[in-house]
Amino acid sequence: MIFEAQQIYKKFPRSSFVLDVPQVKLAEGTITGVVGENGNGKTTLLNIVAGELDAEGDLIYSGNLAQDHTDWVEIKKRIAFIPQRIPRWYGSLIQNLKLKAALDGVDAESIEDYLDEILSFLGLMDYKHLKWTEISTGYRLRFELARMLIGKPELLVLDEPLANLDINTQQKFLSDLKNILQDKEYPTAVILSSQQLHEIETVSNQMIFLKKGKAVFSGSMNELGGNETSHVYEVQPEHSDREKFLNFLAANEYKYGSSGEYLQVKVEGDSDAKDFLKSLINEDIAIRYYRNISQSTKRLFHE
Amino acid sequence: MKLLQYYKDLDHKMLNKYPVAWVLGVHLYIPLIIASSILLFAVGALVDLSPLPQWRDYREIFSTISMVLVLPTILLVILFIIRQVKFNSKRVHIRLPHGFSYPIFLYYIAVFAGIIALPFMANIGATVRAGLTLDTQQFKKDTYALDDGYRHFYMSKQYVDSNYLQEYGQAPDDNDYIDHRTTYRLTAGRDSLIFQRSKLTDQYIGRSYGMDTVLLSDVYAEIQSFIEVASRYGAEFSVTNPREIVEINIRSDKFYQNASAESTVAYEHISNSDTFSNTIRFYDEYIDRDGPFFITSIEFWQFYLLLALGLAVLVSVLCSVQIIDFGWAMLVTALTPTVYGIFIALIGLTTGDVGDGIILFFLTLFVLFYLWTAFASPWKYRLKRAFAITVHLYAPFVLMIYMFMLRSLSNCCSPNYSYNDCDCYHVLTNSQYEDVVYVCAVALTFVVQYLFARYYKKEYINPQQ
Repeated sequence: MIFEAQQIYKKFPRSSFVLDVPQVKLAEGTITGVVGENGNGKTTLLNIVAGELDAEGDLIYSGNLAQDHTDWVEIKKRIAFIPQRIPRWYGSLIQNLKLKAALDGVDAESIEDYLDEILSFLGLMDYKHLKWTEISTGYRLRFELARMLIGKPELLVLDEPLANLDINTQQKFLSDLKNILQDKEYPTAVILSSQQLHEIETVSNQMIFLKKGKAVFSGSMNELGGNETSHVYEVQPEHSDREKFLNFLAANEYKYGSSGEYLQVKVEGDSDAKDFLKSLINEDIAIRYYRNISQSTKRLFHE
Repeated sequence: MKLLQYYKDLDHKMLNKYPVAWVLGVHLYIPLIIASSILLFAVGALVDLSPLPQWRDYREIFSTISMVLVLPTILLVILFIIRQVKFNSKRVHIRLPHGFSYPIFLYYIAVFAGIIALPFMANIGATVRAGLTLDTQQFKKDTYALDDGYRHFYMSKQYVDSNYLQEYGQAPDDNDYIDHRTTYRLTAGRDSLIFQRSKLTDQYIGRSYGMDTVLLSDVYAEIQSFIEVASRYGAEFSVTNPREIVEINIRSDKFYQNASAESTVAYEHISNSDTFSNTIRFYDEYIDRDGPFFITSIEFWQFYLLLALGLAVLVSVLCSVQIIDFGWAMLVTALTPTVYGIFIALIGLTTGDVGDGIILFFLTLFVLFYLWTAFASPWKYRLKRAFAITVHLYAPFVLMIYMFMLRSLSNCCSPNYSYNDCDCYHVLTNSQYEDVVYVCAVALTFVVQYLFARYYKKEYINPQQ
């Protein structure tokens, strides 16, 4: 286990907010997504895991309990933390990467090859001679990722990496992450926070859902909703059919909640997503968006 | 082009092999400083090769060189700081073992010392050259003969105030400053000469130069001695016979006393007086650490070291903390004297021993408050860091203030104080005490630098509270 923590507890002075997470386990080769509404403790949890913020509870990194300064000096060498706002790089990108490689003890003769390997892996070769101001936000994030990978970190902590990225860049970045973990060169565990639930759930092995500082859910995607006897579907009917859709829900006594144009419908019993969709089609209700969120943390937002 | 390519290759090699040295710009700044220093030193030494009599013409070169080099020096300092901040902050320094921090700090001192020495490197060259060329011990011995005999070879009108004339029994004048012809005449007995002496050199030799009455035989001896000594410093004489010189001088003086002479010079027997006086000036400036030779004064080097040390501390802090923390710290640092000044002004007791005591008391309160805020308060870490950085920067200055105020609070007099109303005497003179304060402040700078380098490392590596 690369990281293990029991009873993480953090209270800020003069604030009623309390982060209380019973357990976090990050295994090699896995991605853990941390989700939740804004202000519910995602960044706080990531800062604690990255060793940036002190908290109560035992933090164990690769079997070593973090206790004093000497421990942290060693532990920090194995952690790569990418904050939401990445500090600007000065000088050319390749110069910064070389500096990091040299400081991390990469052999001088093989620095060029080593960096080329990482940059090729992330598809950044064509941009290495540019400067920070000459690349987009997505590339900045990927270059920061490249920089972090130089030291072959055991734990990669990413705070809202997908924020400000367009959908294609998000996909590309997540695909990079997946590739990194599949590569034997990087025996790494990844923990990242995001508001992009669907994208994160697609790549994550486990999820932590935080609500008011509490871990409402923490476990693998399979565990989510596994014990539930109900299903939850998110539906956006065509505007013209919204009234008809609401009548349909009332007639069948389905419970539902709404967020804007979207309605989250809870269906008890064994019927699956296909059955529910069929019943909507039978009722001639035009649907713009339909998604089964029974096994998504999204259902937790509405419970 | 070849040189540029060579530098690029070196830069590349340094970055890959010696990243810390690369960040520090060792391959760029050290050669640049050494080459520039050697060049400027050589310029200074070569200027000095010119004949001594032309010293007056050349000495201006040094101030011009210094003036011209001020802007490039400032630019070099700024570029060095930018380079350090660009690549260092929270990237290099924090990651290095603690053992690295101190050598880097010493390197900063060396680089800043090297850079800020550039504007007066030519002066150092000239000084070293002069030190090798000039026999100052002999000059100091010759000073007696030169100063005693100079009046016999040159006299001009002097502009003096009426008090001066009164002191020598001459008619007072309503004007504050008057055109005064100096005196050179025989006494009533005609065996002595009464004349107003005039010094040639700037050296103090323990005797005053004013109106003097000297036996003629002694006057002839003075003249003879002057001719012998001054010849060694390049003086050439239009008249060399002492009796003839005295006769000419008395005649000239009479003429000057009785007629309204147009010329400002009554008599002059040194045919190359400009050349000669330039040579003497050269010796004077060297011995007095004046003109281009100011660099030999201890005060200058004290200030120089303080400047290099101050810049090194500032850059070390800048490279060891987050920029935002440094920004807050600068705000606290800038406001501290203002707030303290307002506080003391509000109290209203700023003079006298009682005032000093109160100032010292509140200074102690301030210091304790800053220490508490930085290291023991439950406040936000950014605020604590800002105060800690301020404590780091101000520690040597606070020590200096304490040491000076503690001395001023005691009623003892300085040991070189001449009056008798002292109850006790300090062990050290004021000047010696200032030196002790300086040394203590410099020593404390090195100590706090060591301690705070550890503090910053812990602060940025350990998780925040």
